[in-house]
Amino acid sequence: MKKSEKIFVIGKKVTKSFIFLFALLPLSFSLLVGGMVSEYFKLGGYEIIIIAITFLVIWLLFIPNMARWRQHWDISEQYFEHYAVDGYFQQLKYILSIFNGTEDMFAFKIKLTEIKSIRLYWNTVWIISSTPLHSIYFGITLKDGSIVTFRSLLTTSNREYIDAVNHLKEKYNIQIEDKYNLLGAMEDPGMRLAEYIDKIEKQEGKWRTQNDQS
Amino acid sequence: MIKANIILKDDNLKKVLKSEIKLFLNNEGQDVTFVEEAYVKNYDRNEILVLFFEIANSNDIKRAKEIKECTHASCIILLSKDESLVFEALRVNPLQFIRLNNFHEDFKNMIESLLDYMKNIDTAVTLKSGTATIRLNVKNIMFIESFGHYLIIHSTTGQYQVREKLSNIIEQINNPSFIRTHKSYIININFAEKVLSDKLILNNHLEIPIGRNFKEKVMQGYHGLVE
Repeated sequence: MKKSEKIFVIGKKVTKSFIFLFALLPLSFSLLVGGMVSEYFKLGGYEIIIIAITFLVIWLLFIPNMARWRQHWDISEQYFEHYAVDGYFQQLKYILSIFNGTEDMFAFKIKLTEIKSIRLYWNTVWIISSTPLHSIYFGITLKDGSIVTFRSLLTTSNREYIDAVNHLKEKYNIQIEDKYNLLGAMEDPGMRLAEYIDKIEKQEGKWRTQNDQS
Repeated sequence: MIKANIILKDDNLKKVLKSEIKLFLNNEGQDVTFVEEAYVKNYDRNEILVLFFEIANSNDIKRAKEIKECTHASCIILLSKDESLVFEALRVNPLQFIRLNNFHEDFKNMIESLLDYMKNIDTAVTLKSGTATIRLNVKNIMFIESFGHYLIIHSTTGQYQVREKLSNIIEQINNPSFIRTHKSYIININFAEKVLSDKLILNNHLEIPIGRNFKEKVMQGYHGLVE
C-alpha cells in the first residue's frame, strides 16, 4: 500500500529528530560510564570502543521503548491508521523503519470508505487508592460487519481530537455515535473529562456496583 | 442436534426467542432442544451447546465470560438492549451479538453464523494487537502474510497487523477457503484468479508465492473451488 500524506496525527509520533534527541541521553551516559570503566581497568587505548559498546547497549535497551510511550493514530486521504507496536523486537524494528520511511507497515490501516460508524466510549480501570482511570476508546464498525476497538484519546490536545473526529464525519459521512456527548465535554474548557465521566458513572450507579463487588 | 440454553431476564422475550430459533433451525433441517442451567453443567461434550445470554452492563459481560468458560459451551450468543456493549463484549468472543432494538436483522445473521458454525466454518476471527481488539469478517480476508512473529492480514477493508503465528491463525479462522500456500502465506482461495506453477495470482493482481511443499494442496483447493 502506498504511503500517503497525513491530514491528522493524533497522539505523539516518533520522529527521526526525536530519536536523535533522545539518543543524547544514552550518549552522555556511555561517555560517563565508558570513561570510568577504562580508567578503573586502565584500558586507556580502548576508551572509544568501550564508549561505543556502552552506547550501543544502552541505545538498544532504551530507544525501542519510545514506541510504547509515544503512540498515535492518523488519518490520511484514504486510510485510518493506528500504530500498535508491542514486543521489544517489533518496537526496535519500528524505530529502525522510521529512518527508511517504511513505518507504515506497523500500522493497521482501515479504508475510510469502509467505515460505517465510530462509537466513542470509555473503559474504567480502578487503580490503587480506589481512583478510577478512564480511557477513551473508538469502537469502529465497518460496512462488512467487522469491528475494531482501540484506545483513541492519546493526546492532551482535545481540539485536535475533536477536529479529526469531525473530519471523519463531514468528509466521509461516517456516523459518529457519542451517546454521552464526550466530544462536547472535551470542547468545554471549564470541564475536566475525567470528572464528567465520574459524574455519569455515579449517576448510572456503576460506582455502587464496583464497591458492592469489592 | 443442537442444545440451547437461554438465559434472559425477560420471559416474553425468552418465549419469542425459543419459537424463532425452533422455526428457523427446523426450516434448515436442524433439530434443537432447549435445556436448563442444571443440564449445562454436565452436558455431553460431543453435543453442540449454544448459550443465549442477555447482558445489560459490564458485570453481565464478566458473568457471560465465566459461564462460557465453566460450561465449555461451544458458543455463546449475546443479546442486549444497549448496543454500545458490543465493543466491550468482544472479550467474550461471542458468535453473534443480537441488538434487541434491531432484533430481526441480527437474528437472521445469527442463524446464518450458527449454521456456518455447525458446518465447522467460522465467519469471524477475533484478534488482539496492543490496546486494539479486531474482529474481522473472515469472508473478506484476501490473504495473510507473516513476518517474524507478526502477521499482516490483508482484507478488502484494509490491512491489520497482529502478533500471532500463521499456524495458529489458520486454526482460529477454521474455514476451508483458507489454504496455506507458502511457509509465510495463507490465502483465501475465493480471491484467487489464476494458479501458476510457482505462484498464485489474486483478483487484485497481487502475486502470492507457492511453496514446493504446499503445491498439491493449493491445486486441490483451487480446482475444488473451480469445479
